[in-house]
Amino acid sequence: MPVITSLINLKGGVGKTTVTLALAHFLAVEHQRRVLVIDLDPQTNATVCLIPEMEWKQRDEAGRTLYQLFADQVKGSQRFNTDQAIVRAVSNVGGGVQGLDLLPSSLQLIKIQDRITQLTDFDNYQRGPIFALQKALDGFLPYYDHVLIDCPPSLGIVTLNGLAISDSYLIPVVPDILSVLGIPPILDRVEHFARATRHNIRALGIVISKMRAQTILHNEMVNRLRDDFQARRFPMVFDTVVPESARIAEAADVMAPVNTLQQKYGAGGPYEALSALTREFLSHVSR
Amino acid sequence: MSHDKNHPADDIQQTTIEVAALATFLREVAARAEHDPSFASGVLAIARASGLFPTVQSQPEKPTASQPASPPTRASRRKGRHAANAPVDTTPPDPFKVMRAQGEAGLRAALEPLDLASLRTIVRAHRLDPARLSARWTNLERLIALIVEQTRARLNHGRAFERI
Repeated sequence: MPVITSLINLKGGVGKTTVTLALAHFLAVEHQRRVLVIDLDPQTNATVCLIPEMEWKQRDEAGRTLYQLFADQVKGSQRFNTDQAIVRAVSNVGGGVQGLDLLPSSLQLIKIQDRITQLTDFDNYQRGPIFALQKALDGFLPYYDHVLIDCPPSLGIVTLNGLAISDSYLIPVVPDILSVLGIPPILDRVEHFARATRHNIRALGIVISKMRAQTILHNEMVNRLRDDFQARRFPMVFDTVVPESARIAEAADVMAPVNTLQQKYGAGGPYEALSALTREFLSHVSR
Repeated sequence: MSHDKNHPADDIQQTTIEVAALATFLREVAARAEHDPSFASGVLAIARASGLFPTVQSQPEKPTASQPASPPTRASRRKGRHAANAPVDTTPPDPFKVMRAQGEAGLRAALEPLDLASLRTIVRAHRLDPARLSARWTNLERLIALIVEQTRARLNHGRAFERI
């Protein structure tokens, strides 16, 4: 069975998608792992960083995105077909990376989120489609070595579907005041969910992203996060820090012509950092 | 009695000398500009900077009866576009502005007369190839295709999200 990792933070813009996509690319290309990216975020950012947006639109209109999975839960229909929804060999690197697959999200999830939430009992999780994703992926997971789940910035029913199949979760943070505020509620809520569903979900650690090394605040916050880990308040903080970088931002363009990860992320700093992050990630999940 | 003013006859003579000198100067400049494209470009740049000439966007020159249109060879385009056609403005066009105003065909038409250096300048200035795969390309058509494709992709960015 694959190692399944959710990437969560209650705050948006902290690098969840960037870290998800980087890990997915480096695992597939540099470590020859079979990787499935599940984009649970209705913003659909990971999806359109891996396939052209017009391709996404056609798939969405044909019911081949996660919107259909959750719409089936609300409407009682059974249109979602996992095999048809998974997009194989995605990314702009070399025209598509073998072994890197995507289960795409949909903007339409925004329309349906409230209705799914109404079906759910968040006290004991006995009601509501908590395990819809798990059922849909039954039989498909053994094919993969890693599943990375890009979660929305909330702990609603869609995110819980990701956590329900996860062995562990990563918390990407920008080392600033607001994004660090979201860490304790995540730890608390995930622990509550894991206890209620009798499912062990390990807090793998915190990944510092969009780090500006010249900024005093960023350096102070990194030190504070590492101190909090020493004091056992927070999970481990990854040694590797992902820098703020124009090249990493530009790597989101799935239409840009690139053949290698060095070209995608820019040789030197950003590429080296993301490569190191992936090695560190592997060292933790293989324990 | 002091002579603060020149005699009118002296003024006329002085003006005649200056006009002759100016005409000689302009003829020398014109002759040298005709034979030295880089000198011509320099003079044009100074004239434009002074506001003497309006900035003219580089466009394909319309063929005249005495100058029938003939397709430029790849070598002539790469080497001597400046020398052959003496483009008025060497500032490469903004591909996004051109495509918005004139569409894809208009952008292609604006890019066609440009030389390798100008096409590369456009690619660099607008980060159309962040990985710099095209840095060693010498095929003009390939660079034009890259510029058109990337410009179209960026202008269409987000279209799929317009109606959900």
